[in-house]
Amino acid sequence: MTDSPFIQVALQITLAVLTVLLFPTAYRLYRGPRIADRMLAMDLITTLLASIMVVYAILENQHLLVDIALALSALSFIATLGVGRYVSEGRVF
Amino acid sequence: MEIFRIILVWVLLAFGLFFFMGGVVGVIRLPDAYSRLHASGKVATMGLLGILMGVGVIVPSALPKLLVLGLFISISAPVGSHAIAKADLTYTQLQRQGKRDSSVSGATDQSSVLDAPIESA
Repeated sequence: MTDSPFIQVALQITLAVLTVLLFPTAYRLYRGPRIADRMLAMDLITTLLASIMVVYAILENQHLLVDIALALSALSFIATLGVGRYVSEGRVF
Repeated sequence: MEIFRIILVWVLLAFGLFFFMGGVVGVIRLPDAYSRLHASGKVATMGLLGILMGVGVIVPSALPKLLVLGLFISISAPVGSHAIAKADLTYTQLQRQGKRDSSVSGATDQSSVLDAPIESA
């Protein structure tokens, strides 16, 4: 199923579009203007990276990358909560 | 039979990409932080679920891991969005009371949420 050229083309197009979508999000991360904008841009970049990892894992037949995507999204969730707490209360713990 | 699976994969991947593009356009174009939070929090999660479903149709043996990833994302994304919104709201209130230095946020956009009335939490 993965060797079918139609599937390969679909996965490559998906990978290309997802990679291009990283740049506008990085612009929002750079520009701000509020802290919430930077936090949500970082969150969205992690979501994009997780889906890029999943698509690349299937394309290159390296299924370990799916586990890494899961770990990345878990760490990103904890990081979002930590930064939110730091912004609102001035300390993380 | 194979052709239907290929069409299903294309449709699901296009669904996911459409939602991802909508989310990124919203993050770039919407006027204030809370609207942008709405775009990234809901729309991008839907896009990830679409891509996961498409990939799951290609490789059914990876389906359990993809299911776990999708479940985790669909639980953690709303909680993360809520944390971001609440942090921003608290930060704005503290700024107004003068308990935070406003230069820390790097705020250059004067038409931001700072001008809008804020209900007491």
